[in-house]
Formats: sequence, structure tokens, C-alpha cells
Amino acid sequence: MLPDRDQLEYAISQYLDGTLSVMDRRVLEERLAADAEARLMLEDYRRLDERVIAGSRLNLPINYDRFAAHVSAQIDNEPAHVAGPLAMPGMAMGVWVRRFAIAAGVVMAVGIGMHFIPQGPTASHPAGSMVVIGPAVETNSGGGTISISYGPTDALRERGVAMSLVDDAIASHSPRVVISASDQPASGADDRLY
Amino acid sequence: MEPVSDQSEPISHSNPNAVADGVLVRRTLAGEKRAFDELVLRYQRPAIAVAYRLLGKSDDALEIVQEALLKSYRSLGTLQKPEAFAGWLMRIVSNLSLNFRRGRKTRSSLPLNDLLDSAGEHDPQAGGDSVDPERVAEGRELGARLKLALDELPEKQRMAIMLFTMEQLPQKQVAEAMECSVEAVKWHVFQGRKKLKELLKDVV
Repeated sequence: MLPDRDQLEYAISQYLDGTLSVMDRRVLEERLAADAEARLMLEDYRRLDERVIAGSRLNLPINYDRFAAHVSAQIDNEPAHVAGPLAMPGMAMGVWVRRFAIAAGVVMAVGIGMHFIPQGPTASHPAGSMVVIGPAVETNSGGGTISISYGPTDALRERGVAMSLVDDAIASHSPRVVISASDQPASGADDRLY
Repeated sequence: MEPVSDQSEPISHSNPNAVADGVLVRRTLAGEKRAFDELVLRYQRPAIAVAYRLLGKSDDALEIVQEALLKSYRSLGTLQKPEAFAGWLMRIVSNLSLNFRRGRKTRSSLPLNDLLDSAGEHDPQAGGDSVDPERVAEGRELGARLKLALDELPEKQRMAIMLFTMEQLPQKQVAEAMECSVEAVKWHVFQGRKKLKELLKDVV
């Protein structure tokens, strides 16, 4: 049953468009057969549609063939598409490769960091913690580099621990893991911590 | 060439023998520019009609549709569902038209007037083959009233009525053009109809 006028009108609107479901159509047709007001409503909407269609007829003074040729000539000046973009709909393959490389880099860096973090509290290796923040996912349309390095903390560096001693330093002190990602080519050490 | 009546002509892809839009999009993306020409031929009429209804001037409509077609060609690789080309194009056309209308930017220097047939005074609301002056006058009056009434509708209702009732695009394409669900299209069409019934009650 169609309980109220609004629902009846909505059903009539869809009935006119042929988009009412089979079951709803049957219900509406039963209602139409029994309800003169509903029939009048249907007639009003039908007439409205006819008037809207009649009033919306256009006879624009446009030469469509020439317009299409004009657009075609402009398309000819555009570079042709190269096959491929739809292999992964909506996203160029290169972006996926770069994202995968970034994700792989992060996983490797976290793995390395985990490896060097003491596994349990001992007198010489107190329990440590590691905080990994980010990276935020961002699209990258150009080339990029990822570098991962590990080494002594800033405190050790200030005390003059040479890189040749880095393994010792890491073995006996809190390590530092540095991951840097950039959309620029590598240009030396990047000390940003993530 | 004689002006071609627009008559809310059903779009050609309803022809079961026509190559599907998705195939044409894929062929264009594979480098076959002529496949895009087919899409232009297929959708230029509804696109121009939509732009005209939003802008009210043939040359503005041509300019916008030309821009929309070029934009769609350039961005074709970003179209996630190639078979949704028509709705996507209509969305570009309607967005560009609404932006144009809001900004009423200065006219382009492109020689688009050449694409208008010489009968420049042609009455766009006169109806296709009708030569009966009374019917022409009636069509003109009805068209003018309808245009005013459409302008009173909220944007979504106006778009739904224009694309679905006037241009007779399938609801799925209208939904794609309006970036909403098919159910929402049905609702907007209904709400638009209700308002139009009220606004046009003396001519319906």
C-alpha cells in the first residue's frame, strides 16, 4: 500500500520514467485503478512532462558536422595517448611502483631498526623503544629517492664517534635509524627522522 | 549545411550495433585519435544542448563544449570507468558552464561563430520542422516560461530535469554526471517535477 500523498507522487514520478520496480508498479497500478485522485495526479505529471519536453525542444543554428571537424582538428594538435593507463584504472603504473618502493623502504627500515633494538632488558642494554611516525601517503608524479641509513645518535656523534666505529656504537648504544624520502634526486645525507 | 534539429534526439549509443563508449575510450587511450572523433559525434548534441540551457547563448555553448571535449581528451587517462564517459563528459560540460555563468568571463577569440549556421537570427525555441506561426509562437512562449521556471529550481533539481527529462540521458549517466546515486537522481527529478508543476500550473 502507498500510505501518503508524497509517496504516491514519488511513485507516480518513477512510474512515468519506467523506473519503478515490478512490485511497486503492481501496487501503484492497483491504487490507480481504485483511486480517481491518483489517476488525476498521474495525468497532471504526464501532461507536465509533455509540456517540458515540448518547451525544451531546441533547434540551435549549429553546424554539428563543422563543429565536430573543428574539435577533431584540435585533437590532432594534441599529443596522442600512449597505451597503458587503464591497466590499473585511474592510476598510472609508475605511481604504484613508486608507492611500492616507498612502502618497501619503510618496511626494511623498520625491520633494521627492530633488529638493533635490544630484545629484552639487560644491565648493558636497557629496554628501548622506537617510534615510527608516518610517512603520510602522498602521490608523487616525478622521480624520487629513498635512502635508509643507521648510525650513532646525535649524542655519540657529538662525542666524535667515527663512522668506522659505527657498528660498535650501535652494538653498545641506542642506535639511530634514519629514513629519508624525497621527490628530489639524492644530494647527500638527509638527517630527517621519521 | 542546414541546421540540424536538436529535438532531444536519443543519443546514438542506444543503437545496439554501435561500438560501446568504453571501447572507444580504450582505443583513444591506445593512441587512436579517430576513436575520440566518434565520441565527439555521439555526444556533441546533448553536450551543446546542456551548455546552451545553462548559458542561453549558442556561441557560449559551443565554446564551453569545445573546451570540455578537449579537457576530456587530455584527462581521459584519469577516467576510472571508460564506459562512464558520457556522464563524465556531461559533468565537465555542466561544471564549465556553471563556472562560466558565475564568472561570465570575456568571450574567447576563437572563431566559433563560423560554426553557427548563417541563419543567425534562428529562433532556438521555435521547434524543428514546424512552420505554423501559431505553434512557433506557442513554442517560444512555453520555452521562455520553462527557462524561467528552471532557473527557479535548485541546481541539482535543474540538472536532473535537464539531463534526464529534457536530454533523455539514462539515469545512470545522469548519476555519473551529477556524482550521485541513481536513487538520488530519481529523487531530484521528482522534486524538480513537483516544483515545475507548481511554477507552470497555468500552462500545464
